[in-house]
Amino acid sequence: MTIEQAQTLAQVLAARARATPDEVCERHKSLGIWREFTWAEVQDNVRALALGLQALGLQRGGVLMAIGENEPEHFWTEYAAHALGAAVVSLYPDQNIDEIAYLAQDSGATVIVAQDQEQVDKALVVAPQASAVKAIVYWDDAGLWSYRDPLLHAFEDVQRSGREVHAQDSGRYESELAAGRAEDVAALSYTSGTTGRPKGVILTQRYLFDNAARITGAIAFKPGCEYLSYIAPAWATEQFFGITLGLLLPMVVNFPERPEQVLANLRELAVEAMVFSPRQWESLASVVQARMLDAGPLRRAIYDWGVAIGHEVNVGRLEGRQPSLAARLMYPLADALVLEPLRDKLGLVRAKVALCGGSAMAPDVFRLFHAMGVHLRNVYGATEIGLLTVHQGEKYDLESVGHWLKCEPRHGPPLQWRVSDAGELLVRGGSGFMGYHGKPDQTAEARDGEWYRSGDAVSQTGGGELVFLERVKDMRRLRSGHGFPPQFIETRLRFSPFIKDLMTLGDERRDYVAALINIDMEVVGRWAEERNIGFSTFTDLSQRPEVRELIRSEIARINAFLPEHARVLRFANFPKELDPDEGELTRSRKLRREFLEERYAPLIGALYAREDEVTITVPVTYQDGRKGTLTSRVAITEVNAVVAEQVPPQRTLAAQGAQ
Amino acid sequence: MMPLAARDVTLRFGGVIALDGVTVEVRPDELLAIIGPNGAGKTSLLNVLSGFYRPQLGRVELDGESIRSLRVDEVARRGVARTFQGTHLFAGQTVVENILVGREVHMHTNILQAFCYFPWVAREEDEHRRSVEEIIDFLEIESIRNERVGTLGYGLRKRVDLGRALAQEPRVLLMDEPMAGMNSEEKEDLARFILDVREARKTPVVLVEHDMGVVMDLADRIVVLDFGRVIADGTPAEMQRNPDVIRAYLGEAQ
Repeated sequence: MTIEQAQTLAQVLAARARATPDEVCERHKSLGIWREFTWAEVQDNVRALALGLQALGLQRGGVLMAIGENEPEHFWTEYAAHALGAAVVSLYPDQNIDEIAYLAQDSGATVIVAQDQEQVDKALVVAPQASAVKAIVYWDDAGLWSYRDPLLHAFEDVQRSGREVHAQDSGRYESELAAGRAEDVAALSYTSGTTGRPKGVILTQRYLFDNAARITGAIAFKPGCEYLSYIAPAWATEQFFGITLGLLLPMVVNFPERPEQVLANLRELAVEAMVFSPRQWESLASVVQARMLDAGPLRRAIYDWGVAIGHEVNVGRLEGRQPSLAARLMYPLADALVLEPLRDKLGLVRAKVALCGGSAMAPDVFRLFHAMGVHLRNVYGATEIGLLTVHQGEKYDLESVGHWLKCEPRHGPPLQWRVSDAGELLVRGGSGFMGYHGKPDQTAEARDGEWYRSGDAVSQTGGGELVFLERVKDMRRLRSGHGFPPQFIETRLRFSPFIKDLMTLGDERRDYVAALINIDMEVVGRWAEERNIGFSTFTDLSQRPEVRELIRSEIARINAFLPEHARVLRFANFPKELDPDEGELTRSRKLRREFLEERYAPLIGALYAREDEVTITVPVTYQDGRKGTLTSRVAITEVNAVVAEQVPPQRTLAAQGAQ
Repeated sequence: MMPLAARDVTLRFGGVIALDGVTVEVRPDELLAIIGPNGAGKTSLLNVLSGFYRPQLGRVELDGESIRSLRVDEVARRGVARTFQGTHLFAGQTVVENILVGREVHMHTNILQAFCYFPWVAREEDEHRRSVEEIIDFLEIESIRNERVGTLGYGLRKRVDLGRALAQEPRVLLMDEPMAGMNSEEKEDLARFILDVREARKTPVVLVEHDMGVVMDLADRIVVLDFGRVIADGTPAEMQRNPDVIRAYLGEAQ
């Protein structure tokens, strides 16, 4: 069987092992050295394991549970299960006993493959609760030397028994392999389940092949490239990348020594392809920021200068602006002095494909990586229906999740989408949504005819890129019945350096969305000074027409991503800073919405009464504890009408620093 | 035959009697704790067992043979390793280098051969490096492999100290107050590793320790010293009931 004819990943592996037995397929750092596994070695390990697991009772249609870090054994386990026609449930290493017990019962797993003592301890507690579990296999014996339990088997022992089977019956594995079909269930991927218990999404072999093809059709993935496996296989994304593309493309899949070592390992490898979650990218960015906080003023100045040039050239190009000639001329120097060393420190010098999957990430973090010259892209999808969009090409909108992916005809009909009346994204096509394991009711709920209901509220940019707004259930409704995404608006606006806090208004009693803004006195004050705008107090500054114009333009920028009915139409700046001492914020600086709605009721009333200005009186507590009141005129600003001319700064460089 | 034993050992410093006819046997595969009030002679006993002090009377036997004629380094070469109160490490060297020091007893090349770096020298170096990496893996200190020991926290330095002792592949491991100065989390970590040493490597461990909680949890057997004499010898449960032990620790009952 050739690779093109292969219907299961185990068949692909066997074909690769025949075609290029001596090429490196996986690499794992252990005992301080990167150890390489060739295709032939991986095939040998997977075959031995599969036959050994079969002897432990794993059968076609059965379920195996794997729990542990990303290590070669974890991947071999999955391929071995596929070879037998069994499905894999991958778990996050930090899942607790209750969760594991539920997943074991729900999936009906008969074998648990666990990494080490920590996982074995959990599995041993779970096994009596999940009666189907007949064996627990572990691959790292540290601390397990004196464990005696009839359920326990060492990985090597299972492989040894598999090798004995193969020695006696060399055709057994081949015949198991040949029985594999594209319709085989490859994995049950449990969705995080913020509401109710997790549901196991059925992922077939066809689904994995389909999603891998969607990605390679959109981004230039080079066959043979080096990939770092860091995100957990429990997350469907790693099923597409490490597990599937690793074989199909193929890639050299690198496994870090330990999760804590991943930054050091990344630098040693300088991989070409990587997929991280937003949290992981943010922690990578914070490494840079923390180091620069410790640096001396000269190094800091050089860094700031280099990143500013990188920002103007790289981010400018991405956003369709022409960088200034000066910046373009300085770029090679900035690259040599700052950007290239930064990429080197982070292990990103060779990164061609850098992807961020999962929830939304701060666009500032995105921009930092782009300024460094790393083309970080967002990828968006749902476990049920697969990957849907990714940032494609050289120019894309960082606020969006990118253009739609295409599905190869051999895997299914083209991907189609529409937005329901409730603002929900509906998708169909590709290998399709195969349902939740053992949950017909919830499967039916997630379907609308042949459409899959994503539960996500989305919109589209002018360029045709998809924008993820919010989960539909978190949308707030206006009087018209239209929903708007309060968190999307608030988080995006909070990324603006000028806005410290804000509260969106709008509910069933209101016709449109309005906002109350708490400006950032420090940043806005500096911004005003650079433009020779005089001001006395916070109240004065917040109500200046230039400042209102500044905030207006920030809101207008976010409005562009929203459907018309969800846009912020009017806003006012708080005349005083919100203060936890006055109960306006919690101690952790979260807004106390109900309290604010009450205290600023006249202002809110004016926002919806279409007035231009209102005088309000609010109690204030001074630093020395005295109480008083503040009476102030507050201007109300229409987002769609320009307030004042944009004022250019007097000193260009300092303004760049402020941004 | 016991791996290590002190028989009727008496040790004097001038007029001070540090150990007075002490007999202690370290049994194969056991975790033996030596406890006692301050000045009871615990560290002296450890120094006698490692051959650092020569007792005036009695003998110390390693696998049934007296170590009287051996130098300290020869005792170490025959498989007695120890960790120290505080840490005795090379602060300016990395973790790997410090643990490699423990391999010294197993090195066969001399400085001239090492300088020429013959193939067999390279092979030997690889072997030593590998066993150091196994210890690093065992103690879960991969992330500090190349850090200088001087920059590490106390808990980690103690772990490196243990690593250096393990690199000797000892037949008996002597540990002098490993838990002193640690916070409870560091103590738990180290306790786990001490248990693992015994379990994975089947190495008997002799532990001098003040922390009673640790001793009661870990030890298979406890020997109690007071004024240089053994006043009790038994399991942790027996010690908790032993009136002599209670008296030595808490003073005379009212």
